[in-house]
Amino acid sequence: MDILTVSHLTKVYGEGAAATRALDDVSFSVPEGEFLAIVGSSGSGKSTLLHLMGGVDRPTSGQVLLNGVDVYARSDEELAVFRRREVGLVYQFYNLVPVLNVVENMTLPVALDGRPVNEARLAGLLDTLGLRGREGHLPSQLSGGQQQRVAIGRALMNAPAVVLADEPTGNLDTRNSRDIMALLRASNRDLGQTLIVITHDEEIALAADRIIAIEDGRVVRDERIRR
Amino acid sequence: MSALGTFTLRSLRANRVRTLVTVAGVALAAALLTAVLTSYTSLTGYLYRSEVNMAGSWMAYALLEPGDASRDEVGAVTDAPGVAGEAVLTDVGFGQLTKDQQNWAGTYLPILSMAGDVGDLCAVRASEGRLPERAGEILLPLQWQEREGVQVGDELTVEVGQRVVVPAEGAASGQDAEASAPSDSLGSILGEGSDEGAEGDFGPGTVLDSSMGLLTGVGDDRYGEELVDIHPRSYTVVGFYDRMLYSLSMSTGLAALTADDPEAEGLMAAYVTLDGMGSQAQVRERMGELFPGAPTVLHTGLLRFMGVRGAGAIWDTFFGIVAVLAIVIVVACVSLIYNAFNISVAERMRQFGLLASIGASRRQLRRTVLAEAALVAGAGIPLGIVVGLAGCVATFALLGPSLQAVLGNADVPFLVEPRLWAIAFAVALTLVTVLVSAFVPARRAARVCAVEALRQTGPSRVTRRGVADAARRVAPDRLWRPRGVLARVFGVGGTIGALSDRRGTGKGRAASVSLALAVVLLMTAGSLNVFLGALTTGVGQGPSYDIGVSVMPRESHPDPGAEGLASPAEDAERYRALFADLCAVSGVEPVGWSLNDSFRPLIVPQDMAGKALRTSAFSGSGVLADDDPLVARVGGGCVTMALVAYLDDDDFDAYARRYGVDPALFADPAVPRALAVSTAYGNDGTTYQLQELFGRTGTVQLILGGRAGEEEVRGFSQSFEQKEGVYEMSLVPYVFGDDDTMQELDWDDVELEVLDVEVVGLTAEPPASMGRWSSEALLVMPLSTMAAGTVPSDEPTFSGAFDAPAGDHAAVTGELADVAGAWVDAQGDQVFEGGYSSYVNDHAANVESTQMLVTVVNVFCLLFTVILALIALANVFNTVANGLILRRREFAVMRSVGLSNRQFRRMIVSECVRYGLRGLVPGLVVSALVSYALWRMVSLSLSGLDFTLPWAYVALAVGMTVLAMAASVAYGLRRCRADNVVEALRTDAA
Repeated sequence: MDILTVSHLTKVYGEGAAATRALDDVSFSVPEGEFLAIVGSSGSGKSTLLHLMGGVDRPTSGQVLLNGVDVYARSDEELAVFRRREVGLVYQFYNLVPVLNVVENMTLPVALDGRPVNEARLAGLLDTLGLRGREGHLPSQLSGGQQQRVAIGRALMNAPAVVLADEPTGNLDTRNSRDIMALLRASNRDLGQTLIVITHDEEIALAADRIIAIEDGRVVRDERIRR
Repeated sequence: MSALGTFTLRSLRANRVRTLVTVAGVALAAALLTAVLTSYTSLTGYLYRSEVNMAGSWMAYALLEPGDASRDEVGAVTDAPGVAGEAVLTDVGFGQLTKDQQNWAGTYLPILSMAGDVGDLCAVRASEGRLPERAGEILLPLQWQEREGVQVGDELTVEVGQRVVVPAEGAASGQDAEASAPSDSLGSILGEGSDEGAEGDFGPGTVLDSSMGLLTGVGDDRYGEELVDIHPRSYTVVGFYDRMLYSLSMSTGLAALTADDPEAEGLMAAYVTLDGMGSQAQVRERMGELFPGAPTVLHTGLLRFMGVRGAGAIWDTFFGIVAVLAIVIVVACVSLIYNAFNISVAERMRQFGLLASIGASRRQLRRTVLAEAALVAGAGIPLGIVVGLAGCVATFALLGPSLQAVLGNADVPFLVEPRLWAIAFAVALTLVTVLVSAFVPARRAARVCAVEALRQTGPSRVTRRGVADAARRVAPDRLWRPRGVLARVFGVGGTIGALSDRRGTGKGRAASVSLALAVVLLMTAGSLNVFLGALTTGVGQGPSYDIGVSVMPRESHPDPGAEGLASPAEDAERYRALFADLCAVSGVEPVGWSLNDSFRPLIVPQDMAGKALRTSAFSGSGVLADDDPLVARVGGGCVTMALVAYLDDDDFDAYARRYGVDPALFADPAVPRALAVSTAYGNDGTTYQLQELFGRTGTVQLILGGRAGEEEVRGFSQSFEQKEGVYEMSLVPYVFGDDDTMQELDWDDVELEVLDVEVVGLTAEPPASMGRWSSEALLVMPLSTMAAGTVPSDEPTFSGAFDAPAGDHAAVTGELADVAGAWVDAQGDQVFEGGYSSYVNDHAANVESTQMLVTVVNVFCLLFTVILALIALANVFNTVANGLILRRREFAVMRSVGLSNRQFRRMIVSECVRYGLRGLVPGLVVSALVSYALWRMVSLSLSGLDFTLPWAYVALAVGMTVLAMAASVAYGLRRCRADNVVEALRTDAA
């Protein structure tokens, strides 16, 4: 069953002569629990695609359906709720709130949703992510790898249907990259979460169930990896 | 342009609003400094021109005795180096005047021969005709035309003589002819600034010149004077001048001027203006070189306005005020500009890191910020100068006439006089302000660590306290629990706001500081406005009537009991007729009149005295200390000085009834009864206020005089000594000795003449004709009591009060003065040997002048407040709006993980409320302290002013800062919301 459907998605930045077509009539579907890698050269439109799937930006035309519901039929307030509950976003540059400590950053989506923190889930994530003993640390006190783990923790805290990661290892060394990908892969495998990763890294792409290649805003290749 | 220059320009362009606000701040600072300095130069320029107009442009004059230098030698000084101009006035002699002429012209007609530029240097201008040009021509004071009917072209023959010293009339004969000059007379002869006394032989036969005051031969002076060598001189009248010649000694009479008079052989006064003088000492030194050994008088008023200062007058009042205003402006602007650059630099740390990583040196980075500051200054300062000058022109166009009226010379127009040095100073001060403000941010930019800056995840940095707080808050059950009222009210947005505020650096504090500063600046300006307004209005507010007329004997009669003097009853009749004459003036509405006796000691029993008398804390007319010999002499009680005022019987009856006292009590004029005014205005050691003198009715004792053997006590010399803030009075009785000198007596040797006066009623205010309050103890009696001689009266003073309901008080004042003058002329010296003098005071004009002063002060304060408010608010705007813009990436992160717009707004509003409270509360506290300090300062010279916060300004300050905060938040939010979250996440803030 498809959890996510992208249908004729187009995104144009700017107007008139300065208009740039970042995405051009992109369509594909993602089944629940799939690990999808999106690859492409710089400026091909893959990050735009990820942000549109995550409800962070609005498309010029086309639809994104999550569990059959049109994401962009929602109001801004509803879209904010969607981002808290339905998706988890992980960025290359971590994007943590600098004044919040590790646990505060991780539980921010829960707090924004006005729900109590699931202590068992938090404890489990801290253990899994190797952040025990660093709960009270601020982002500035953490290494890059640690910061990315916090970002992953934040993305997973609400147990979203889909985890979207934009070059999650792009800023990390090899060892940290492997650790991070192992964590994401584990959440995909063990919790059945759908994982969509944008990457330049061939090794990561090849670990995925399926690879979609994008060039100039269009899907040029969509293949399933056979193991 | 260098790469870094381009970088600077781009970063200014990228933040248009902040650049504009900063340029506006710099422009306002330059405008305000220019305006303050130009107001100062215009004001001193006006005072200078006014002084030149009234007293002439002379900087100093030297007095030369005939033997000291020849006329040619003195005239040759004109050509000496550094001498810009010279005028010489030489004594010709003194014209004899008739008794009538002496009433308005003084004792003599001093005749001076003029040479050189007398018109400019001594401000002598012919109101009719022209200045004399040759011998035999004369310029007279205008009074000669008005009083004597002399016209231009008339021949005038004057008996001219020389003044010489003679023994005073009545002085013992055979006194020491070699006695030295009485020092007090000579002190006044040479006037202010003279550095050499005319020591030497002084005695009968000494010739007196025009610089020497009149020797009256009255009182303790042992010498008089008379004219000798009198011979007739004929002159053709060529013109009149209509103002006082300030630069000429006037004590002997109104001077007349002639030219090239062959008989001009007396004292020469050489007036000069000098070039290139920097100090008064320099002027004095140059005068010493030009006129060796001659006494010199400096035109200190003029020199001060020219900026040629005396040693002790480095800070005159104007300059002090200008300095204070400049400091306030600079403080406000440093805060504004520092914040602007601080934000600008913080925002671009990553860019500076990038520049550093590709090889930009510290110096280059520092220069990038300083260049930005220079560009902002380059745009703001010229704009500010233009705005400041335009503001001055507009303000003075509006206030010029009022200023002329306040400063007292309506003939001299008030002009805006910008000075190059003032504008250069404003430019330099603003530039320094900008560069100093940008220096710290520039240094921070230069010290950037490339690696850290490039790795930076967000611009917010966390404090050490923030780190500790973050480490404590880890228990899952306590996470996100709202802390504080704001977090509760604003939900999770408020909680995030609180965490951000508690842990983040700088931004919030900068906003709070700029808010506090705005409040302090606004409130300071407000307090200044309120207290200066009070200072100019004053508490006393003068009398309630428009015009006051006083008439009094010209001098004390040496023998009050002598035959031929008017009886009190005749006095009463004569003054009643005067009042009737005055009431006949058209446009006059009489308020009332009284006859006021001279001060006499008054003994008030302890149980009757008010607090001020009992505690000896009354400066008005003073109170004797409990241990004073007189108090012991009269057997206790409180002794003060009191005035007895007599009201015409009908007026008195109305006055008594007003305070519920039956006028029938005063039916018998032979019984000394009085009403006493219960309060008087005085200083209790701290402030001036109305103080209680009488607590209840009873019998008081008036000390009329006394005798010491055969001698009648002539008066009581009164002196004050300040002890622990209270003025303690002492009284010593005196008689005139054989040689007319004052001899003080011991109270024990004096047999006192005391009159019991029954005070049958207390009143709250003096009679309307005496103003709103008295500054001494005041007893009021009916005129019939005086006429009956019940209280021996000694040369009473007439005091009449009038209103001019049509508002033409100046014209009415003139007519009242004419009527009073005619009455004085008509009395001649039949009653008193010296005759009477009259004085008419146009209180309404004083009130108008005060009103104008208030207007001028208010307009200045208002302009100052408005500009300062703009600076303060620009500061708030810059800090708050840019503080938000600086955090746009942080906001984008939160929005990307589900922060809704509503939560975002609540977070920002909660932060702003927190900054606001943190800025307003200390701002208000500091403002209150500043207000209090200002109040203390104003209270030093103005009493009865209660301390109150300027609430209107408190409301204004709070309202404006809240408004500025709201505007900046709205702007900041709009900027943040307009951002595409994706873009904001990708890039650091531009």
